Amino acid sequence: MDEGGALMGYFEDMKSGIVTTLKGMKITLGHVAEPTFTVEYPDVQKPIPPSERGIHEFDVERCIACDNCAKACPVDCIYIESEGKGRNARLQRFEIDYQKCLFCNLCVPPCPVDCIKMGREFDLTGYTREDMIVPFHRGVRPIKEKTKVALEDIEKRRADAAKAAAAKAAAPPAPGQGPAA
Amino acid sequence: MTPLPASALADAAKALWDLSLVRGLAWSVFIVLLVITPMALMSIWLERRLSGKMQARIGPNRVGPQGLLQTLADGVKLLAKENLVPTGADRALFHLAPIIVFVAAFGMYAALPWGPSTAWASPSNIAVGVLFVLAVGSLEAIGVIMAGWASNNKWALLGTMRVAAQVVSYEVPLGICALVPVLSAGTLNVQEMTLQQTGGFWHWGIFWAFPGNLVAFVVFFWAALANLKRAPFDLPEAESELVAGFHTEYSGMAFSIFFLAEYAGMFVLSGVAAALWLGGWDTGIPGLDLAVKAREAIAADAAGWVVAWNLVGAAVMAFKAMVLVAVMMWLRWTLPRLRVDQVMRLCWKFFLPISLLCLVWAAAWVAADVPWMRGAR
Repeated sequence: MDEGGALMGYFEDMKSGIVTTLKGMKITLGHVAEPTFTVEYPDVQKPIPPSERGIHEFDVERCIACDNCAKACPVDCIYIESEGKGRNARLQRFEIDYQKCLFCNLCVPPCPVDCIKMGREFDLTGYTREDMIVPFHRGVRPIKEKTKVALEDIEKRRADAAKAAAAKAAAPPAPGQGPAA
Repeated sequence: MTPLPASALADAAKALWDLSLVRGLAWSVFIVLLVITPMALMSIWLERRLSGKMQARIGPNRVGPQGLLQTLADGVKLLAKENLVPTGADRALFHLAPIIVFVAAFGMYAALPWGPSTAWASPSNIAVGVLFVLAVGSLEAIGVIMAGWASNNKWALLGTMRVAAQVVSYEVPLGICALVPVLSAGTLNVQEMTLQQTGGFWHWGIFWAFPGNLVAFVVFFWAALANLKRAPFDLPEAESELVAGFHTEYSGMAFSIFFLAEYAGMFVLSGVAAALWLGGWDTGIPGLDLAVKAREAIAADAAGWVVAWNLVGAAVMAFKAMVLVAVMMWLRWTLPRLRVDQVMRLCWKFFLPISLLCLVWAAAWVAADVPWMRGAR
């Protein structure tokens, strides 16, 4: 700008003003033709990455009520109640309080039977604080993609159950337990 | 007291209707409610969808078909909100300001010609139409300054000072640019000027005293942008610096009146630019001269066709104005906001000399009396 003096600078300003304005207008017009980047969320959802740590998934049948996940939880948001001891422990209550949960994934590795996993869902709404406590022992949100260990366990359980049923069918009904005469 | 006979009532109603003031008021209410307000709402919708497109997002599309009723829904929402008056505000001025802005923005429509016919209702035949537009348009600045001053708010006052500086500056090139086609056409009557531009698009004002009127059109458009306080000249309401500038303290319906007035002003100034330079309601297609068609229809006593050709004229006019409004929006979403000194520099050092040059150029062509370089008088 300096080499041309003040007057040339004036005309150069004018020219650059017009040229840059037109350049900018071309860019914005180009975006009009492009597809939109955003989606209409509740109707269309963008894919969630596999690493997403959302609301837990939990297989209630395979839980052995060992309490390891609750112990690992840094915010103590997992409530487990069980009846019986050791191998005979039976799960009575398994609830996670999502007001506390920080989705850290620390409850997943300690599980010896792979029955807890971080899910992909992220929306949980409710009108009360109690609505934020999800009762997994009622069988809500079972694990969708099971691990190899879990699948083998399920297979074994199914085989055991079939064996037990076959044994029960083969054995004569115990007195007093048969159909009422 | 005996009841008046029905005929007397009818006579009274007819006498009242014959008063031009009453008829004018009735027409004004009709036009403001059914033409200008929907037009402004449409502009707001266009702005939102267009800005969405330019930012690779969708924009409002849920309320009504393609979100057309979104602005109406927002209006209803604002209607239900409290109209707050801040402590220490000048109540009278505070309430008067949006009314003045509204009246100024909507009053400008009076000078817009909408169709060729002057058979029943003259579309606009103000002898000093261009002057009227500029005068009434300037009133808006008073309303805005009033709003900022009466708010008793620092942001509002700062915005107001910017309005005063900016609008007063840009009135100068705006007025001079509007004079260029006036000089070429030899009339201040907007309808007359439009009639001179009929008969093919090469008769349009932008080709008069070429390139004087073309440059004047561009400068007028930019000065109008500054006068409307639209980006990149939106310093008076710069969100990042002044909250909302002069209307910081306005809420509810008073705010929405400012909002509506802004879009009404955009549309009317675009309409004026279209009428002065882009042929107004003229289609620009050689075989489809609406003025000729309407004259033929009147001669043939075909009232339906007269109305039809006038409606086509109104549609063409609205289309041209809408295109210019869309360009205003396009610029808004393209350019960043200028600094105050840049705004002033652009006005006084660029627009003013350019518009003066255009004026002298057009005057020279009028003095030289070259018929093809000015309106077909």
